Amino acid sequence: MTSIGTGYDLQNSVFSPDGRNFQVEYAVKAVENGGTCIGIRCKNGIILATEKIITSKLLRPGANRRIATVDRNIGVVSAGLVPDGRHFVSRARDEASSWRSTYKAPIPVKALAGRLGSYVQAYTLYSSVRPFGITAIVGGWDTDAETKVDGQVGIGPAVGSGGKVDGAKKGGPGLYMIEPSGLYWGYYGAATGKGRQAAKAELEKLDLSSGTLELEAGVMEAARIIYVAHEDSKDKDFELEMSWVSSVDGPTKGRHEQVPSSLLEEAERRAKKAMEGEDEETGSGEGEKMEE
Amino acid sequence: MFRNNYDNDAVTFSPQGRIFQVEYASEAVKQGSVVVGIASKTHTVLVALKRNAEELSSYQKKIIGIDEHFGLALAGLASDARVLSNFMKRQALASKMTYGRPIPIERIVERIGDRAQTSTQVYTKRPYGVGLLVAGVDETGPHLFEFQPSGMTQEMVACAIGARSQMARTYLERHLDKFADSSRDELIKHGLLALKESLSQDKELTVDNASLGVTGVAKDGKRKIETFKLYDGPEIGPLLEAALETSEAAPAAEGGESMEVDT
Amino acid sequence: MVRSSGMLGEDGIHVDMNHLKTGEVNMAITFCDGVILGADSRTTTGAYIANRVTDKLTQVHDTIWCCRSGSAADTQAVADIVSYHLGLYGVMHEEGPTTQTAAGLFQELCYDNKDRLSAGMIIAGYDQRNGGNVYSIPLGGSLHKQPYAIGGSGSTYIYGYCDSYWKEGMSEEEGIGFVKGALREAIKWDGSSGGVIRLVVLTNKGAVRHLYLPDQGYKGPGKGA
Repeated sequence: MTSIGTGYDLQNSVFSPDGRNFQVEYAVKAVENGGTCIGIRCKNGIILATEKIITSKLLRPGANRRIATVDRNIGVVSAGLVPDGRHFVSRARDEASSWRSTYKAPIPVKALAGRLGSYVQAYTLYSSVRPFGITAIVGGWDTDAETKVDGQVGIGPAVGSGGKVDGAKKGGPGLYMIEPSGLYWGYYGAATGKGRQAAKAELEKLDLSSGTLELEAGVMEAARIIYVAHEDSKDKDFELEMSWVSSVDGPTKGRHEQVPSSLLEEAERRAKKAMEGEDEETGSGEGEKMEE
Repeated sequence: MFRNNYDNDAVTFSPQGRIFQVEYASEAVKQGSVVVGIASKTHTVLVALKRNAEELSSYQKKIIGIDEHFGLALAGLASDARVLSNFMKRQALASKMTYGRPIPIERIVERIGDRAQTSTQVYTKRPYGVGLLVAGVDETGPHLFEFQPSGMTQEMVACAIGARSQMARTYLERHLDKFADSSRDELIKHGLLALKESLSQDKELTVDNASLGVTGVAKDGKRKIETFKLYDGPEIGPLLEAALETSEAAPAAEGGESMEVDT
Repeated sequence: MVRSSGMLGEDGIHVDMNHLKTGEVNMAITFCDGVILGADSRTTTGAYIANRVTDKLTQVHDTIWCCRSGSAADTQAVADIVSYHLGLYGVMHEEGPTTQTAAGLFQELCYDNKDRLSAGMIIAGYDQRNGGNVYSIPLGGSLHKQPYAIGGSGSTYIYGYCDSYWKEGMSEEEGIGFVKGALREAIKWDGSSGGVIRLVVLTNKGAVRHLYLPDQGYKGPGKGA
């Protein structure tokens, strides 16, 4: 680390002579040790998944959820310092509810990502605070259905509102990843945490930008990717946690929910099988090497 | 221990992404005397070893009842625990008034977790120097949570924190699969035995230095709660006797195993 | 219509602005391509017509407009605040605000300040995603989505007219005829309504104003005037 000893990395909000904020870079280091988190943007919904490392046998299995619901249609998962993640989620919920009280409608995923990006960025500006030690993935589905204004009475004309334009942009999936600097991008497939490199490589194989991956198939892929990304820390046990949001006519009816246990188990079973398959291949590969 | 440039406050990350002040706060937990918590399907129990400053002084309070349905055990700075427990008492009361039901254990633990997180991100504050085990029962059954100075909270089946707590944890891990179906009495025994593992050799559990809290689902009626009961002083005597009797009467297997652990 | 009901203050000179009421007739309807808003143009202070060609249709965003009734000062202030929020929304987000967004904002303001406001609003707007929509926010601050809405003192006289002649999914020509017909009746029977008839038609093509003059029997000059 070239930064150490120069003194420019001891305080947040301070630029080094070459224009870097080292405290933010160090916060990223905290993220890089966190459990792998991924998000996938499918044709008809989004999926969030995370690898929850079991740090103690005494932890209650199935408890301690890491994926949070922020508004009915939006979920958040983060890698890095877990308490920072909870702070982030709590802010996200405040933003979603403040939007609702102003506009009487759910916040679009994009707008939420923007507001949270600004919030996280503010923690890079002052020496009296430290940056967030997390990278968060925010995913949701902006409804494509006709929605009422919260609290409205009546439905307007029975024949429906006139003059609608066919194919006018309506809702859809949204997936964003927010870094400790406050920087955020929209993603087809997002990965962060310890196994992000492996996870990214797998995500890239999926051709997500074509927008053809079905939600159920995405669940299987997400589970498999978490298992692949876990390979490097094989010695540690982990729990897979997954959630999804579909369109209004999909399985979750536009809501952010935990993936049902039956589907989760099926996805895990397939993921393990796929891993075994890979092990055999690599096993034979080593055999060949030995022959050489 | 050596100082480094990155351990002055909680708002500075080290180049490895660590926050030393928070880690040091966790050390304060390890200075506190040991506390143990276990949850079964019907009950949760907290057990603590109390310390006295000198022979003639009183023993430090280790277990605090917060509301009828839950309490906590602390390890570390007792005054920090008092701040947190006062906060929890207020929150529990407010929740009861607003919603007309006991606050869910997870909810109250999240609240103190969020509060503790804030003090790891703002220069004007310092992290809490205390670890807590929060045990209680709510509409979804008995729960046990661990709280750390970092703001991390986790739901556990069993847990031990404080000085020499590793030995207690080893005991807990070894008996882990028995806890779920344990009766109230069995759970208390396990708690006391786990605590005993962590005692230094010249010490033993007495009515003076042991403290115990239990709550659970009451047998009669639906959703009935057994009020958080604190056993302190003479009241704990029979419980100690029952637990220690069985451990001594029990086959040497357990004693043998723990000796192995010691080596 | 803006009239003063409290009228002159104790000095006999100054008008109490709190009592300048827009008590007139206005309405908004949905039709097959969007929405139409309409209003009379009379503003009175007592018996005197202070302005006979007032424009009571207020734009709060490109194709979101409103009809104001109640206190002129209050409704203008509320419309200004909403206009600010919608403008901000428009520049902050790719997709502009919808009529629902505007209605939500109006309602929040009207409900939260119900004790201090005298404001009845009709909000009508068009956006590609939701088509044309009409919302009514009466005095207490409740929000109603309606096929059409009428407001102001003059509306009392046209409930029957509107009920008999209303049809869902009218053509533009039919819609204009309906609004104009209703407003003419209100002007005929309500003492505090009068002057010209102003309309705004909101469709995919944007906002188009219409003007109809009494001396031309409310037949012209029509579109774009």
